[in-house]
Amino acid sequence: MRVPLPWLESFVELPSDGELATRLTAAGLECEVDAAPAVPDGVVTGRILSCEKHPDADRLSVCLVDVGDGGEPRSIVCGAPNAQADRIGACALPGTDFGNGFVIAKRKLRGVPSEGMLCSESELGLSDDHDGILFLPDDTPLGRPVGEILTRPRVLVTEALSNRGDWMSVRGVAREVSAVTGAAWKQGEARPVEADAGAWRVEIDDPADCPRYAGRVIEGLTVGDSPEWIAERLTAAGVRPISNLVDVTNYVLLEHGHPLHAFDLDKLTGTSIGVRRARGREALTTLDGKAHELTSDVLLITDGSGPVAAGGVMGGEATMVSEATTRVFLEGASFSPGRIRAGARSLRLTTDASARFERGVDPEGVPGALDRATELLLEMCPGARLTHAVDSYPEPAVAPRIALRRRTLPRLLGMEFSDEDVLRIFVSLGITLESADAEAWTVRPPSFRRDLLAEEDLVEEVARIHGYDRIPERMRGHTSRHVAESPRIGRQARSRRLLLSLGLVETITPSLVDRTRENAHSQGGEFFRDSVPLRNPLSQDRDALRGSLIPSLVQVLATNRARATSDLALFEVGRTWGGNPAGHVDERLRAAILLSGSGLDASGSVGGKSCDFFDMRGLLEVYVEGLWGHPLRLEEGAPSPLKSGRSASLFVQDQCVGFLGEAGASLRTAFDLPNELPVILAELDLEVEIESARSFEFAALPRYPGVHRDLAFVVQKRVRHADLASALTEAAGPLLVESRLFDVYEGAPLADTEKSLAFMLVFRSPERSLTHEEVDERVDAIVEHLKGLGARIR
Amino acid sequence: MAQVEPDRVLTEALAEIEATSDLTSLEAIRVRLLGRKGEVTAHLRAVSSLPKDERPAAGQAWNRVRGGLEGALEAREAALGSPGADTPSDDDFDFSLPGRRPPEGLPHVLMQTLDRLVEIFRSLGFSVADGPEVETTHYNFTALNIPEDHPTRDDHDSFFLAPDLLLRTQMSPVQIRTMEAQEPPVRVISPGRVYRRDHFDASHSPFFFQMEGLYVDTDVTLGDLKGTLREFVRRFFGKELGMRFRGSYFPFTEPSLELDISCTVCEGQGCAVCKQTGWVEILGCGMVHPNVLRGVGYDPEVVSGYAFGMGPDRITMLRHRIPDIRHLYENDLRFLSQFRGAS
Ligand SMILES: [Zn+2]
Repeated sequence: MRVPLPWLESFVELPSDGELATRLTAAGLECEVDAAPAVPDGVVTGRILSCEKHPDADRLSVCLVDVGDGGEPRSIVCGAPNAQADRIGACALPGTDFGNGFVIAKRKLRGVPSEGMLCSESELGLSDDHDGILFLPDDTPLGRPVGEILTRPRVLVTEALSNRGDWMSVRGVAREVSAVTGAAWKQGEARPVEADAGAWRVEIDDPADCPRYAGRVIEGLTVGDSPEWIAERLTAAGVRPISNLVDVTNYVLLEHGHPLHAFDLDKLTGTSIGVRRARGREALTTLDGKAHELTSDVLLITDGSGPVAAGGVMGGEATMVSEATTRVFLEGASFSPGRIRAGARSLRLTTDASARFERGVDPEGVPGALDRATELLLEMCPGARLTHAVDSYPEPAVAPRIALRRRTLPRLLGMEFSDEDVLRIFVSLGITLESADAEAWTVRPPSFRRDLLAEEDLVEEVARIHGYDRIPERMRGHTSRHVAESPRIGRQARSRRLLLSLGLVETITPSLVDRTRENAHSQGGEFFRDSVPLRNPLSQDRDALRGSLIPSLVQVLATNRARATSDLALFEVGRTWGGNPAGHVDERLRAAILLSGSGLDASGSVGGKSCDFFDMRGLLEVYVEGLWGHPLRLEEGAPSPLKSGRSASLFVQDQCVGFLGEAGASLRTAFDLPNELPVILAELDLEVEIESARSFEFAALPRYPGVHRDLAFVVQKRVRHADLASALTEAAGPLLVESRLFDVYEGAPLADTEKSLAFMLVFRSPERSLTHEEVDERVDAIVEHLKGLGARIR
Repeated sequence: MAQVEPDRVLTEALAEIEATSDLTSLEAIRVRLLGRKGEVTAHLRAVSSLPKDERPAAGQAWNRVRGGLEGALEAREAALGSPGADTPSDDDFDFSLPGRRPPEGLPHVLMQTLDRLVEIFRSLGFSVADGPEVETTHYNFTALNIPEDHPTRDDHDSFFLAPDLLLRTQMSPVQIRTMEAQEPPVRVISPGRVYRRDHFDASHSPFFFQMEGLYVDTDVTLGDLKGTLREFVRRFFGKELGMRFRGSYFPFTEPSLELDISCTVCEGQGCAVCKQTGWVEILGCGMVHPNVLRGVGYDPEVVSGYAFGMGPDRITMLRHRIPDIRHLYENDLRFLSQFRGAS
């Protein structure tokens, strides 16, 4: 809200601008003083003597301007659409410095000399209005500095907290100023003007929707311009003056925070006003010209003929005031915040009025606001008079009685407050002390403080007004009793540490995804699950919670591929979802890894080799052992979206923990990845609990030397390493303590169907040194046994 | 004496080796000292005739001499250029060639901030707690003292999956879950992802991170909250910074406050980052509302507590002057690698 400081100052003495903003902000009313940038020197008033089209430019006109210096009229080329002869405008003379390096100079525009500039409000920094030249009243003397004529008041720009609707008015801000500075209140209330209800009646259907509804009938009005001081204040507050009638309602809205509405009495039927919900198929055209079909969420104001306004939101077109209006029914009311919120949503309308009612408007303040509006109208229109006043307030609000116990303040704030301090704060806030004893202060808050309901609310008020910065600091207790953290937290931290130590780049990707795209990859699988739909997505490309991290990582690849590189080694540890919102949503922490291009070899080495399945497998072996303490085991096959035949399931002990494999066709197509780009993916479920924890108990180190042998076997390509290795171990017997594949060879002199697998073997006995003869015997047994797999020694 | 002599022999021989200028004299030195009848060889042989208790020390000493000489002879030989070998001179060694970097892990810049926050609060005695991102309206609103008809509850601001199921909009539900699961004292932080129904733009994202803290015990005051946060600011920014507590409003705390720190970019002078105010808002906090304590079965007459919540995304953007939140979730390597080692 924009609060012009002179307006504010009419209620309460103000400290310096800086202190005002600092103290209000500290108390919770965030604000700053918007000091108007001064109009630069050299901008003077000038009369446009003539205005003709520029001979060579459609959009420009050439004006002759008299700037009152007694010299020849100046030729000024102007682009404003409102340039017009016989008006007085703001004219910047050559030499005027606008401060940002922009200095007016004599020059030619499309061949026509221009000796200055006719300025708009925005060019002068007065407002955002850049529609045309700023015109001044026709009787303004010529050649006067515009800065002297237009002194725009300084404005306090405030941002009220959502529970402090009472701060959304000049008076509300003034009350807060008085509370934080202790300055006295300057002004009294408007003088109430007496009148009876006459034939007027107000029927409120449900006081829960509308606790209070009041009206004033004012006759003998003359619609015209508002007095200058009102127009000035409204303008400074950012409201455009329209006519005295409209301006008064706006003025009171800003000053009191009470929205008022004026009905043209000549367009109202009867003298009975109703307040009720819309029913059936009722319709209303609001004063912005829009026709609405009403739902029962909308609260209606009715006259003898039917709906005349959407209460608290907007008036109806049929009963709105016009220039011809001479008598009005001026409405002031308090509506329930929830009702107005629902109504405004149903109408798809947000107005100044609805915004205030949604934050709560004090029913006790209604008569004061109407009195103020009446006072102003009668002042402006000498012939006007108040003929009737009506007020329906079926269940007057009662301020709650609240006890603030003396011990509560030090218990929560960590400091003692004297009786004087507390009472001074109460008084400054308009809180009435009912009684005080050794135990507690018992108080009633003022009616406009609807947020003060319980003891804790008073604790906040005391702390806030005393000043949070003045509450002494302390740091209690450095240790806490041990609390077991969820295993998920440990597993997440450990996973990140391991994967980072393996050289991977950490990503954080969007967890909201495009449902259709995502499900094309998962195809309803058990591990790569379908995404879980949102009921109210903002856009179709983020309409579900992801079922897997894999598409997210592939998206990162696609993004980077488009920009710089396809050589990536990425991971994400994040959450995924499955199941059904109507039943059970299954949230699981997962880790996913992507290697593409040269993968981990991407760190600057030239001509890095392409990554493959086994880079990922090795990485996963280290990761899984580090995380679960057990070795990784692979089984053939994995579901979509991994490429069948080039993928495997990951097992720890007997539990499947995830999958690894090359990117399948659906991913490659969706993310436009060429087939020749290696893309290896893995995803693991970190919620899996591995039951049998490995024991890390010391084992005696070997006392006797091992005997080392290398053996290379030639086998058919279809023979798997795993089969050969397990047959080898089996044949070797217990003396074989280590067996490691160190080379795979294909090519000449081997046949096309053959490959060679070379193993490094270590034999050792825990009891003695082995002889070469013993080891040769074991090697012979291995060679013999592997013949069963068609293997021959190379 | 027996300990001094080997060292003297070594020192003298090393100097002699260094002084040789041709391979022939170098070979002569080798033979004189290490040959079958060489001086050092003779000393080594003589060790076995020493008294038993002197043998180990003497053996070690002369072995050390032999090792040292062998190394020096080899190095000198290489330097002088052994016949036939193509040994590059030191002048040809190009140390400016790039090193072979092992693959290096790169934590996400946002996680670097989070890790640091967690580390600081752990050292201040907080444990880490977590909870689901898909939450019930009970934990996300009701238990946090947000009334049924409060506008923040409607589906305009939050993503819903079902009428009473939504993506958590703050980390506070974890506080409730933690308090429900244990008796006071409770001292936890909860970092995690939260959601708001916003379109992506430079300063908004439909998902972002939050970290909240909670301390409930007998005798916890607003003074403790202020003191703890000052210590946090000291540790996180590595220095004393101007701090300003402002009144605010959150349904689940009362009093509710916001904490501004003096702008680290302009040191409080006013700049674009702090919108010329000299202050930057970094967190919201307050004393836990008694309704929240009652809701989890704690007695607000016996215990009290403070809570605070901050946005790691925003803090990361401030620390590194990242102008657009979308960078954080796009994972462009050119972006991520800018923050290697930032921590
Ligand atoms: Zn700054």
